Amino acid sequence: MRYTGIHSLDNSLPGKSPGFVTPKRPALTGSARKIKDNVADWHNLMLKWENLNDSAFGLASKIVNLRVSLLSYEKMLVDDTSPTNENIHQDKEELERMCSELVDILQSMHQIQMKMEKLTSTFKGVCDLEAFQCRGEASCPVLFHTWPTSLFYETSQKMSDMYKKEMSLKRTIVGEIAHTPDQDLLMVYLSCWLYQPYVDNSIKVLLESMLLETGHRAI
Amino acid sequence: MSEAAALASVHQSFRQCFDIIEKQHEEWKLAIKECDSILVTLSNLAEQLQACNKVTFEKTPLSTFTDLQDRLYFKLKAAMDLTLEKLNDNMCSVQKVRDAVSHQVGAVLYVYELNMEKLGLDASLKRSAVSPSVADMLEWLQDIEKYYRNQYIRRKLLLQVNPDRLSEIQSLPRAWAELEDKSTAKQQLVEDTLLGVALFREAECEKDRFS
Amino acid sequence: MQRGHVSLTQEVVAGGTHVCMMDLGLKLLPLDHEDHGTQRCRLGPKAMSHLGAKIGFPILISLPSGSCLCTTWPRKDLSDGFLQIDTMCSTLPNSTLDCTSSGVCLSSLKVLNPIKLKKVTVKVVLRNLEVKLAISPAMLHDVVRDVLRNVYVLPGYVVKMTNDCPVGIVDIIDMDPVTDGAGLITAKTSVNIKETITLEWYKHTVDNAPQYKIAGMDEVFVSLCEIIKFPFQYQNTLTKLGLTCPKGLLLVGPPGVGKTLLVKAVASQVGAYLISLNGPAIHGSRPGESEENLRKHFERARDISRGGPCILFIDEIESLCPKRGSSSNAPENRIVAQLLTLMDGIHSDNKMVIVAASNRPDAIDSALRRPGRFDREVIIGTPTLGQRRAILEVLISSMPVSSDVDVGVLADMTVGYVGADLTALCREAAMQAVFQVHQDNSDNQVTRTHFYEAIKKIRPSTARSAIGQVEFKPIHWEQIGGLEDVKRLLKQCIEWPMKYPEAFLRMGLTLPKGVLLYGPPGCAKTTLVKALATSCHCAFFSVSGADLFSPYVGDSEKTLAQLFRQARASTPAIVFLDEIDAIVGCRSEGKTGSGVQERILSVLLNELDGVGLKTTERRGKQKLLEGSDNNCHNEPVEFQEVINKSVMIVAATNRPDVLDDALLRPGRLDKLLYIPPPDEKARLCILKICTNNMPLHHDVCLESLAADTTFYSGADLHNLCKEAALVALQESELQATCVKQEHFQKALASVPPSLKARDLLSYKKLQGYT
Repeated sequence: MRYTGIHSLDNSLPGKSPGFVTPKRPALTGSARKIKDNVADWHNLMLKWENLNDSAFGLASKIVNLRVSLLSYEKMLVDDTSPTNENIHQDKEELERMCSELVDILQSMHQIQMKMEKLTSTFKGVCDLEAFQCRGEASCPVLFHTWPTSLFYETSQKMSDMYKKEMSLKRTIVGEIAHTPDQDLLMVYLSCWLYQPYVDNSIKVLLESMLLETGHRAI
Repeated sequence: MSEAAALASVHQSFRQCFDIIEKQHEEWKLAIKECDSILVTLSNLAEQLQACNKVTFEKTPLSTFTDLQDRLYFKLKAAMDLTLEKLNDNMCSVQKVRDAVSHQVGAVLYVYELNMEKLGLDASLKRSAVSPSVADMLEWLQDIEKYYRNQYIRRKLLLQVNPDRLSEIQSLPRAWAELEDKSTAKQQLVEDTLLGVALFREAECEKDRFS
Repeated sequence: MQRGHVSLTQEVVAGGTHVCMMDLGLKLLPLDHEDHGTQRCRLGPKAMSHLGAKIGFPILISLPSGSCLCTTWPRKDLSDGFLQIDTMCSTLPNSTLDCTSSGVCLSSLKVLNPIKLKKVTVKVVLRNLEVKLAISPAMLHDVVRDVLRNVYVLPGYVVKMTNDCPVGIVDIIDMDPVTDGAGLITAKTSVNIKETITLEWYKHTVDNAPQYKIAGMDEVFVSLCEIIKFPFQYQNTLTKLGLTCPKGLLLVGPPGVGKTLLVKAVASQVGAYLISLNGPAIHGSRPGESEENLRKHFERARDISRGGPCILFIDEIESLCPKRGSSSNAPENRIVAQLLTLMDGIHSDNKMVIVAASNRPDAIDSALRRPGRFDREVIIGTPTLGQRRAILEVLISSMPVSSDVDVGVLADMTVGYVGADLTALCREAAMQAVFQVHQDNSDNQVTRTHFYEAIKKIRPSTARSAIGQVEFKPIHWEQIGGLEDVKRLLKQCIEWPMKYPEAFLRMGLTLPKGVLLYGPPGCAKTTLVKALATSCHCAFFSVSGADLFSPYVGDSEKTLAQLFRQARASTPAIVFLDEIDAIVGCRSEGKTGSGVQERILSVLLNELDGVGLKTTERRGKQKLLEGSDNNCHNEPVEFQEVINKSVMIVAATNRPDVLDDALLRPGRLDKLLYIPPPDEKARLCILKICTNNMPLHHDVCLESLAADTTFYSGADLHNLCKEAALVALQESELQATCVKQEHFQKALASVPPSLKARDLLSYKKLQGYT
């Protein structure tokens, strides 16, 4: 964000002219092309992640509800032995099924996260390439409006770090969600899942600014 | 202006007022319903926040994530702020209904006051098969206006809870619903009144058409 | 109203049937449910047109108990002759109307002109404390505006809300513009909230107790007020100084001096909410119940204190918090512990002060009596002369008293009376007056004689159940023959200090502590003391060995100590120890070390000349006791009060030789008075007094009798006269009308003198020795 501030000052004059949109050269080539595609991928990946997260949350809350009812049932068992095991069996099977489903979703989320990391490394590659091309020169060329290529890399790095951390949190939660008897903790797990504490609210801004810079969004 | 003319103008303002109340009442119900769901969300958030405060993260499998508690708390708080904002917007539209009704009823009273002398007491008290007496309708309007004002301030007061008092927030939806229950008799009041004046309004419409 | 009258007359002229519509009663009916809180009153159409009332316009209804401001509406069924009132805005004390009363006259209804108000000033009463804490000022303003919207008000009227509103009552203090019309509060009226209080406080202020009158405790009152006011008034300053305010105060004093009254008076003076708490209300049967009750009371006090200053008053705290350890009583120990915790839990920012009262401070757990709990202890003693005077003045001020009643004299006579006693005294005097009025229809004023009658009946409560309190027939100095020297000396030692203290002080004399009267038996030692007690109005305690000795170890000493404590509580006092040789004996006689007599002697010596008084026995102003430089203004009363602190000991014995030397030194029994056997002149006096009521034959020569009766003591002479009279009766077989000389001679032969020359010699020796 810092960079945009400074650079947009430099470029403010041409930017002012009406109808001036992202350099809409019909065929972007090379690094620019790559970066633009990557940014679009980022956008899509995040959407996918959100979708998966939502469905996983649905599952997780079902699991928690089942757990709670099972727990209360177990408590009842201690008090008196009412013979409705059948239902319990069903519930337990259901629980198992959902857990495995959740693990599956987690797996695909993991894949998305891997893809994010791959995107970041691509940015890194572009950066390195550019550094190689422009070595000796005072400054690297600005491919789009204001951002130097390295900023894309840094931003992407930041975002992917968030998801990485979030991923590990989710993994822990999936591991524990079906095993804790503490209802408060269950609640914490759920809210962690839903609100993704490691994915900062600023990530939207980061993504939007990348989209803006690369011309996916009109100014 | 004769007595009949005075009565006619008073009746006309009544009709206009009832028309507006009918419209506003729909909006009122809509806004209240919206608030219902927002409050449920709010109460959920409060519950999660409570759980977040209660659990000692160091003793759970989450202990590896050192700043998790703060981050989660922050996220939840942010979500809560957002919800409160939405609630506020809704309350604004509720307030608008109240103000519109108050204004309209005030206008009717003004018209009545202007024509009071000419109308005379007897005419104000006369009822017919189609139309309730002027006094009755004035009374109903006053009741309705008071009902909206009362409900608004009551609900507004209910929402004055400190955002840090989570258990209170958690019980908000119930208190909100109770408010509704308590006032069902009066909620009916608006609808009943509208029903009661339905014939009158129709008759007035007819008159308009003929004139 | 005017218009109403006009239309009425027209009606009467025109119709003739409505003879007097204005006087016609309307039947008061209970209000319909849905009209509650709408400020409507329901009238019939005819009544409306008679009054000239317009629909929805204000009308003032005057009822016997107050007036209501309502808006006029027709009844739903349009029937006449009935009236229904919503008392939302009224001056009625309570919200429910008594509908059973007779009808309301139409003339008590008055149509008012509506005036749109620019501004209204109100006092808001909130339903409870939670509301007060939860609601923000802006929100409160909104709520009050809303509840008052479209309501007609008048200054001084009270607007009551329906139950589900957080605002319970709104007092209309002022409105602008003030007219004779009813003010209508519209959306444009600015509402000024002057004060916000809770309902509980409102009720407290509304039914405020009558003003308490206290007197004679000005100093304590002022200092108590300060202690209680300080945290409330100078909160900011105190916090700036980093001080925590004192929050506990212990009042100590004997029963009846007005501890409870003082606290009540202070509470009403400071405007604080007083919560009383007493032992029986706390103690519960279930384990833990007592602590719970205690907590509940504190919780309530804390809640109230958030609304304003609050005093939690614990009466008879010694019953609630007895000394731990001594009583092996677990529940009580738990209560003490709970009280300690609760007292420590009071924050200094709480507007709450705890005041406890006790008359046995020694029985209170010592953990309570330290700064942080009961920071201050205020001792209220039995009232001194000046204080009694002040109290009597206050009490008498509300009574029709005739001019012959001198408050000063009354105060002088009521030694040892506490406030409660004085109240009882005045009541008794009034009763006497009432009684007299009943008998002979004289004018009902309370006179001096009534008071004197009452004094006979009402004994000071300190003296009740006291040891050594005696009743005796008053004896005047004149009834004792001879002994003029002794009488003069006694007066000098005892009566003077009590009657003319300023003279003593002027001459720099210390007051004598005690007097020992010794002399042969039967020489009027006891009678002299009685005369003494009669002549100077002071408390008189008399003890003998029988009062003191008890089979329990330590009991006798305790009794003696208590006697002195009581005497000090009702100074000026005389303690008379008859036959003191039997009570204390002598230490040097080589008896076994731990005799009762020796222990009593040591108690006596200490009481006579101990280091000082116990602090709890302090009376009057503390400064005077400490002897600081307060004596700039020389008022006799103050001197008297200084002197009045003394207890005079008078001891009598006929064996002064066995008394302990320590007892006889100056500072203890510093005046030894020998009461000699009567000489001839004295004997003559005695005989005259003894035969005063006896019909003597003219041949009786008292002078010669006096000359013949050497070694006869006063008692002997008394006996002699009696004997002579008996002889006379005997001889004439109960027909005798007078006593002759021969009878005396016969009696003289049969009654030997009780004194012996040897005994007298030993007394003489002792006198010379001193």
